[in-house]
Amino acid sequence: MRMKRTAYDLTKTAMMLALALILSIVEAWLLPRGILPIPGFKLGLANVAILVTLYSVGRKEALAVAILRSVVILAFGGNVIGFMFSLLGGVSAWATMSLLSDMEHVSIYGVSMAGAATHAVGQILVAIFVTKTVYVIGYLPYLTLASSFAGALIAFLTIPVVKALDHIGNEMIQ
Amino acid sequence: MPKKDGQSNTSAKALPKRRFRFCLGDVFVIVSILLFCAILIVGTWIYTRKNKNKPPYVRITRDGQVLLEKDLREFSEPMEYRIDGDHGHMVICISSEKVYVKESDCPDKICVHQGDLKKPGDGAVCLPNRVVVEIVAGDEDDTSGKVDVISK
Repeated sequence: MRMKRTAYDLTKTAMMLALALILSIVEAWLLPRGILPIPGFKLGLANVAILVTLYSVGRKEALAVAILRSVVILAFGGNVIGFMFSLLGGVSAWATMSLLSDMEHVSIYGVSMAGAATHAVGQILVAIFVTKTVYVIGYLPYLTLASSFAGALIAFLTIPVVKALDHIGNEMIQ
Repeated sequence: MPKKDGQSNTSAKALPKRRFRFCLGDVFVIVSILLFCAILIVGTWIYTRKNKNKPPYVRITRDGQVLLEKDLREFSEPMEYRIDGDHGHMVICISSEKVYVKESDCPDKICVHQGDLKKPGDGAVCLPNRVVVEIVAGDEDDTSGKVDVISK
């Protein structure tokens, strides 16, 4: 009854990686660096792709998208510090999201917000490591709050994508 | 074919349940985040309040090493402090009233956008250059000494 999941899953994962990369570029266009009052704050549009992968392909694939996204950005002219930030932020957010998505009574909104908050904490940890001062912790509450709001918005944007992918999948099975 | 079916079943089971409506657990997530932020904000606030009456010192750190630490009141004339790091250079303006990063050739310029630093707890971070410019609280004993000198 089901179609071959493996090839279909692989295609979806690859598509989501491409989407994550495109969304990173779109975000850089929409919100140039320095326009927002909180240093280091981003909407995290690329997280739409990671959430979609988590909900419609699987946990491992979502981790793969998160890691590969950072690697590809590094390969195409990113810097090492940026890579450390996005990798550690991405992996810590993934860990929280995959854990919470397993829990009862937590919707995609809670999953995304907690992921965004963890991303902020991960980023500040890298910042402490890079600057070797604890001063940067002063940014953490504001970064966490702003990121969590952004996380709720990201969840809202993710829902129609997951539904659309289901729809496409069902049509293919028929 | 049965092999592929087996795989499809496991991958279907591994998928998280799709709860797309706001749930009770989300409230718990939000409350945790708010609590976390509140603790941090109160912590920083207590720190700032404790050091309100202490004299502001400027401290410039690169890679965890202090390059400059000096009482702001000693800068009667504004000066420009230059840093030439591995990644680029920075110019930091220091006067008795405020400190700010004037120039930096880092890509994001977050440190420049940070603006004026005036009281203890203020700071600007330049991650690409690994430089932190901050205002810290100096010793209170020092204040009385300084006032004495001036009043003489």
